[in-house]
Amino acid sequence: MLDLLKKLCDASGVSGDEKEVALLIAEEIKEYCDELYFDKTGNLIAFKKGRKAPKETVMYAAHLDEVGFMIKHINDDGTLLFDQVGMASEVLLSKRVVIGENRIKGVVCSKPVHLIKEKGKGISADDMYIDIGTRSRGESEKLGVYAKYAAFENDFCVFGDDAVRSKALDDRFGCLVMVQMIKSDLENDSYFAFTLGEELGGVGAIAASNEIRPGIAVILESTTASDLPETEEKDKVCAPGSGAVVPFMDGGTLYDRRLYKNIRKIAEEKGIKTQTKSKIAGGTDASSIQRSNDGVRVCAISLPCRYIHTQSCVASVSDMDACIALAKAVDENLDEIIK
Amino acid sequence: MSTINTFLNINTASGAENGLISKIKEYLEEKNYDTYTDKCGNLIAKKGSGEKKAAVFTNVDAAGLIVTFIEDNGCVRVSPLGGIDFRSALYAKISSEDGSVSGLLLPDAADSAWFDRTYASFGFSSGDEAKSHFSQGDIIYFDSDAAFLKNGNMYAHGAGVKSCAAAMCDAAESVVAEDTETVFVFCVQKELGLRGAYQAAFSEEPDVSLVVEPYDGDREGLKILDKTMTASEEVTEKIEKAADACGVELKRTVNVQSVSDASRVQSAGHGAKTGVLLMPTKNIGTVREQVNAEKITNISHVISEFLNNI
Repeated sequence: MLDLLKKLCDASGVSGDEKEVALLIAEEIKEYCDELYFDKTGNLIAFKKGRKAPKETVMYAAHLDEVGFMIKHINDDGTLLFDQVGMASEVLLSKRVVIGENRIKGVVCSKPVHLIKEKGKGISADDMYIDIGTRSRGESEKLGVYAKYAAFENDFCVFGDDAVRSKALDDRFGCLVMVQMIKSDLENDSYFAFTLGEELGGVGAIAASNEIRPGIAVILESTTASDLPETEEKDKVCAPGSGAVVPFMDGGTLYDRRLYKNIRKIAEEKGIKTQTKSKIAGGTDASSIQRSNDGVRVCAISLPCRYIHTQSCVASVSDMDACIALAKAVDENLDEIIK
Repeated sequence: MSTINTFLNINTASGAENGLISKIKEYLEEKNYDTYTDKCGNLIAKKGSGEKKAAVFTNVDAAGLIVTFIEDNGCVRVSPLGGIDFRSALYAKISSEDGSVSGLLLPDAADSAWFDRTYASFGFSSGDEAKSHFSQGDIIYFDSDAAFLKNGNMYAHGAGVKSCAAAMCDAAESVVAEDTETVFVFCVQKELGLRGAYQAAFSEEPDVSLVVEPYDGDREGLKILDKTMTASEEVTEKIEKAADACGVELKRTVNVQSVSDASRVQSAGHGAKTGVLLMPTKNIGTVREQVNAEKITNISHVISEFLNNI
C-alpha cells in the first residue's frame, strides 16, 4: 500500500493539471475495470461490476488534484512570480517545488529575513518568488516555465511508530483507497470517480455526478487534524491514530444523517476504529455532488491529516488501514447502510 | 386552530425539518394533494394536470445547532446550523430533537463573541450523562417558543418560514386551476446554502415558479433583484395583477445583499420563469421573528389568485 501511495503522491497534479496523476491511476487499474474512460471534463471514471447490482447507483469519489502554484510572471533576474491554489502564505517560504512536465526544480523565497524591517510580521505570498537557479529572464524563458503549474517536490517517508510524511495526501490517499477497491472483488457494482479541481470548488465532481447520476456517493478524502499541544480538545477537529474520520458535517456539507449513523454502526460491529470531527472544518466534493441532479445522499470517509495543504502532511498508517477497511465494509454492507 | 398557529409551535432546524414537513404533508393530503418526499427531504405536493406546470416554493428550515463535542463536565459544544443573530441566540431556550431534554445556550464568558465560545447547558453533571442523551452530529433546536400578541402579531423562532409555509398551505385549499398542474414545494436546508430547492426544481421542471420567502420589511413585497437572481418581469407582473385582484398592495424591493432559493429554482434543469413574493417578518434572523396574521392571509390570497390565473 505504501509503495503505491508514494507513487501517487510523488506525481504532480495541481488543480488544472491533473493529467499525470490520472494517467498513472488509469494504468494501475485498467486491467481490473469493466469500463474506464475520461469524461468530457477530464475526470477519470471507472466502473467495476460486483457480485450484484445495488438498490441505488453508488459512486465513490476522490479528487486527483493537489494544492500548488501557477507561474504567472518571470522577473528580469530570472525569478518567478506565482499564484497559489489552496494554501496559506505561512506554509510556502523555503519550500522546494517542481515546475511543469520537465519538473524544473525551484525554491520558494523572499527577501532575506535580516533585511525585513518589520520583524514578526508574516510575509505575504505576493512578496515571494520562486528561484529556479537562473540569472536572467531569458534563461528562465528557455526552460519553458511561464504559465506552468508547480507542485511541491515530494520527500515521502515513513517515520516514528506509525506515521507517513508526504505532500498531497489530500487526496492521493482517497485515490489509493479507490484503486485498492477496484483491484479487489466487490459486492456491489460500483462507479469510481477520480475528480478534477476539488481545491477549486468541486468543478469535476459535479460533472461526474451529473453523468453517473448516483443515488449514494461515498467521498474518500483526507481531512485536517489539529491535535497539537496548545489546542483545546473541542478545537482539535480529529486526531491521527484515532481511526478513520466519518464526518457528520463540514464547512460545505451536512452529510446524510442515516448514512453517517449506519456507517459508524457498521464500523463498530466490524471493529474498525472511527472518529468524527469535533469542530466544523474543511470541505469535500460532497457539497457539489449533494446538489447535483435531483440530489444525492452523501457520506465521507476521511484520513486525519496534520499539516494538510502543506509540503509535509502527516498521517497514521493505522488510520489508512482503517479507512481502507471501512470503505470495503461499506461496499460489503451497502444494503444496511443505505436504508 | 389556524394553520399558522399550528406551524408556529413546531420546532424546525436545517437538517431536522421532519416535524414541520410531516404536519404540512398531513395538511395537504387532507386537501387531496398527492405528496412525496424526495431524496433531499423536500416535500412535494401536487394536484391537477395540464399542459402547464406551476410550482410554488418555500423553505421550511430555520437556524439550529449541531453537537460537535461533549465536555467531561457535561457541557455540550455546538456549531450553528445556518445563520442566526448571535446576540439573540445567547440564553435562548433549546431542546433535543426528540424533545426529551431542554436547556439553554450559554456563553463561556461575558465577552464570548461567537458560538465557539458557547455551550449548550442541559444540567448534565458529567460527560457520561450528556453522552447518554447526545452524540456528536445530533441536531438541537432553538425552541419555537411561540407567543401571540395584539393585533394579529405573533412571534416564534422561524416564524418567517413558518408563515410562508402556512400561507402556501392555506392557498393550496383555494387552487382550482384547470389545465395546470399545481405543485407546492417545501424545501430543506436553505439555511445551509440553498440545498433543497434546486433538486426539487430539477425533478419537477415547472414552467412557472413562485418563491415565497420572509424578508425584513413592513409590507407584503415583491423581490425584483438580489445577489443571485433577477425575477422574471412577466411573472412579477402576473403576481402584481393577482395582488390587485385581492386588494393587496405589494412593495417592489431590491436587495443585492440577500440570496434566495429563486436563483436555484430559476436555473434548475431547463430553467423556469420565476418570481419572488415576500412575507414581511420583523426581527428576521433572530430567535424571535415576528409575523402578522393579516399579512399571512394576504400572501395566501395572492398565491391562490396567481395560481388560478396562470
